[in-house]
Amino acid sequence: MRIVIDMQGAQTASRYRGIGRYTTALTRGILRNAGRHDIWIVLNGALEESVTQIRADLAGHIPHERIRVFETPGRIAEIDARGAPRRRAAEMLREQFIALLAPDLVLVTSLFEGFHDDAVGSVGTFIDGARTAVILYDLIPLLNPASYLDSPYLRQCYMRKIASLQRAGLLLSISDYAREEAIAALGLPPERVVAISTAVDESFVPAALEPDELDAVRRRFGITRRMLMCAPGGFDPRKNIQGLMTAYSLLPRALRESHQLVLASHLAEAQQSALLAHAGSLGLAASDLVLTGYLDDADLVALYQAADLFVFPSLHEGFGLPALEAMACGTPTIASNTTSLPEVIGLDEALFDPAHPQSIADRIARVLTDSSLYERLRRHSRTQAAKFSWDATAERALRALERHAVMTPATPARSTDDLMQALVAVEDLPGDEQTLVQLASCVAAFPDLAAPSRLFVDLGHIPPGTQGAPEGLGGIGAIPDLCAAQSAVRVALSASGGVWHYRHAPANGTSSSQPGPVADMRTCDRLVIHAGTTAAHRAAWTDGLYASLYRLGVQLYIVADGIPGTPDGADNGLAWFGKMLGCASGVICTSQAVAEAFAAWCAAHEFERRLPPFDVAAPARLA
Amino acid sequence: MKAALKRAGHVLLVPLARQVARRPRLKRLARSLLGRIPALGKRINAMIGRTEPLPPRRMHVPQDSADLSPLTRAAYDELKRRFQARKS
Repeated sequence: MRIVIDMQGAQTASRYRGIGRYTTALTRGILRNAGRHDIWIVLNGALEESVTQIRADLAGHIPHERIRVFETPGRIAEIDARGAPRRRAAEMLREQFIALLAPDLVLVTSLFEGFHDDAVGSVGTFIDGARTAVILYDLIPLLNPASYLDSPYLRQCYMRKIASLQRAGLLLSISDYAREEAIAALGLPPERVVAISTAVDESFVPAALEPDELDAVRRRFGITRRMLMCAPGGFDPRKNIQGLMTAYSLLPRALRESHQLVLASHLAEAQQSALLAHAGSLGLAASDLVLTGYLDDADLVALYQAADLFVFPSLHEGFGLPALEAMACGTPTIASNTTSLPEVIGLDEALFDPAHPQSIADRIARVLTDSSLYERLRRHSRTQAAKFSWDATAERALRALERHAVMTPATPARSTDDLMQALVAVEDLPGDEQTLVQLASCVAAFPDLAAPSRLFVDLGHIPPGTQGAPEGLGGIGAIPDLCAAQSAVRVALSASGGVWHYRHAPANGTSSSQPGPVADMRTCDRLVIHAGTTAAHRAAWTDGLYASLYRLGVQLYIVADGIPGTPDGADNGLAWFGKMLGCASGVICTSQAVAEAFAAWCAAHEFERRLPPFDVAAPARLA
Repeated sequence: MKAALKRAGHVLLVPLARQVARRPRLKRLARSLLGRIPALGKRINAMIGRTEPLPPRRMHVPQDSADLSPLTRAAYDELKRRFQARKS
């Protein structure tokens, strides 16, 4: 079975939050447990930085040709209402792009993206969504519209996403509670929603810090007493931080004097001011409350080790990952008795009513003063956390996808003709030149699985104003061998139009020939460049050409028949070449002596990025 | 007439707006507003951003309709034909 995973959840600003972590960890889990299934990844080319990152992260876990990048027609973020027609077009283009990969099932890791950025998320706008599964995190905005959907436009955007969600054949929820919530709120048949749960990152294990290291962490954050900790995972009224502060103020004086309340979360200035004002109104001293600001995982794990108790008072969660992270670190944890948290905590005596600060205070006081309960919670934390793993979640997802594929008819791609008709029918989509070029670029980037991988051979640079003869061939011994191969496509760098790109080189290589058309390189194509690069190559690198080809999945090979030459004869300023080597799939050396000299030259220049594998072979082998 | 009014408005209003924007109290007010309503900052940034030229999504392919790759050219011609038909 071919499963195509849309990983945009790890591409937008969400990549720094729970959704991004979930997307990455679940994808890796699926790749580990895929068995006989083919896994393909789809990424959004508009979010280009993340494409580079994800390609590098997944290298070795999935063949590079199974990571495909779709294009979008310009700016499509929901926040700009004027981009709505382009967004509709982008949704159809993305659905067709994925369908052309001939998936048996599509897994969308995050549908609710694209308000502030150019992510595209839709189901069933052009291709039937019956064979599409979507990860369901929560429906909190739908159930709390007054807090989250306060403007009509925001509500309209959100409801379009909900309509897409309803068209998906299968929802994979991150908790049993989220499943029940979706069935009730969206009126879905129970068999269309499967709970696959979640897990924590492997870095969340009990920290083994020495006392002096722990003291250093405490000093860094101004923690001077024992600590009650809360890492709400963002600041939001439903996180009930003010309720927790009120509960803290209700604790017996001795407990308050021995414990500080540590809030580990990124907070905007206004949010900090609001919390400090609330603390003041409760009569808390400035030293009672510690606001750490953003923490990286290492600091977070250290603080979990330092905390006496982790308290998670949220009013509404889809899962409640911070509570599981704390438990995985062995920290005694108590949490709200609402929504998904009872299934995360798994112990009645660790729950409280978050709507009543006195209930929170009573539970904190009891845990801190009853040593047998405290020990039970500590033991329970590790036992409970061990029940959640990414492999188990990935297995559940795969089994659910397999069952769904058996029960649902396939949804093949539609014809390009259909797509163009649909694009023309998009209301208010302008037919101006810029829009048409953007749409055409998206269509040209569609995958063609039947197309063979092509070998492009870089012959140098076509200088501006000339009629086609590329410069840079002089002294390059190995490249002409490659050109002799019948399948090789001869190309040369050009900067016409102000954009560095490759053009087909003139067929006969004479100066009387016209420059050829722009070369359209695709994923799986290979581009061979000689190590003796020119100033044009450097300019093209600086302009982002090679990074762009890397993102697209074009494999770059560097042929070396000596140590690299420099355009100006100087040996400095070669850092760019080191970076280009980092993008390369391989260096083909014409002899063992050349390979050794090249490797020594690279070592002498201390290039920062990883070097590609060196291969000693005749370059013609690539053909 | 319209152009003259526009020019006069520009000459009078832009320096005035610049003067006003330099006032510390207004700066404090703006910072306070942005601190209290983070979404406002995002909206303003998006409004500023949408006037920027579109980023070159496919840097290896020129975005000039007279100089497209064969694949892009084929799709462009077909789209152009259909959009022209829609117009008529």
